[in-house]
Amino acid sequence: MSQQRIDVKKVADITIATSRDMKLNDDLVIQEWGDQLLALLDDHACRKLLVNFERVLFMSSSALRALITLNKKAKEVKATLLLCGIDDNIMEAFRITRLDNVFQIKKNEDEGVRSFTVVTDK
Amino acid sequence: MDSDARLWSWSKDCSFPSDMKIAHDLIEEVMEQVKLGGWSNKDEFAVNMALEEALVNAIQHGNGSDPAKRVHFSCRLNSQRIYIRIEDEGSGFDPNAIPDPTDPEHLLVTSGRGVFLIKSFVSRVKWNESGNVLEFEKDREH
Repeated sequence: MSQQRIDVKKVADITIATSRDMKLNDDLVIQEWGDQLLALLDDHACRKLLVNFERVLFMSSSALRALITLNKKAKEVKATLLLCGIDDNIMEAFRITRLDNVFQIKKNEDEGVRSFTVVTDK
Repeated sequence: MDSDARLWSWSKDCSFPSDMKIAHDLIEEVMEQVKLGGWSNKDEFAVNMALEEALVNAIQHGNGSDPAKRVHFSCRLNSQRIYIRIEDEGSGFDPNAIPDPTDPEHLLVTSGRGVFLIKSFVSRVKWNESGNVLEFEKDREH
């Protein structure tokens, strides 16, 4: 039985998934977290997905890999994926790996929700 | 690296089976010492990231997660610098053969970021010729 790794809520047609864990570096945690995010996109009603990292203080390259897989699936199902609430240190890992050019990243949840009205796929 | 002349305030030498849970406990122990040394949050994160990626490489890629193979670990720390040496019992690899994950061609490839992150977050890094021994140092910057 897997543990719940995300809290999910809806704001209008936007699905917001907030990561529960402070550290995304354990293989099992990342597997469950990634699977639960991917499962959201199986729902046809989820075509605007905002992943909130406000509780996350550490993320390994394995978690970045899971996000790339999520991004790929979002494109396949024509969903828009946004990330928000990323800690400054983790953001540096995104910059170093240039994944800040792959993902649309917003400062916080409010900004993420607002930007869905003007966002276009990268 | 690891000059004899340098005065270290804390050190640890150990070896352990290829198990990420043990590795994570070890990382916690090292990070506790880094925190006690008053390093900045940014420097702490850099050390944590390099340790995480280096131990994942040693255990999963080097030793193939084989519990019969061990990881040999050394750490030296003072208020200004941390030195880490990690040796696995695998056949090694060529770190220069890993494609640059920031190359647009490889940007969406799901693997190959660990070594790149280690190189980016530490001050000095080197592998031995066969690639199964990694040494790195991180200077306190903030």
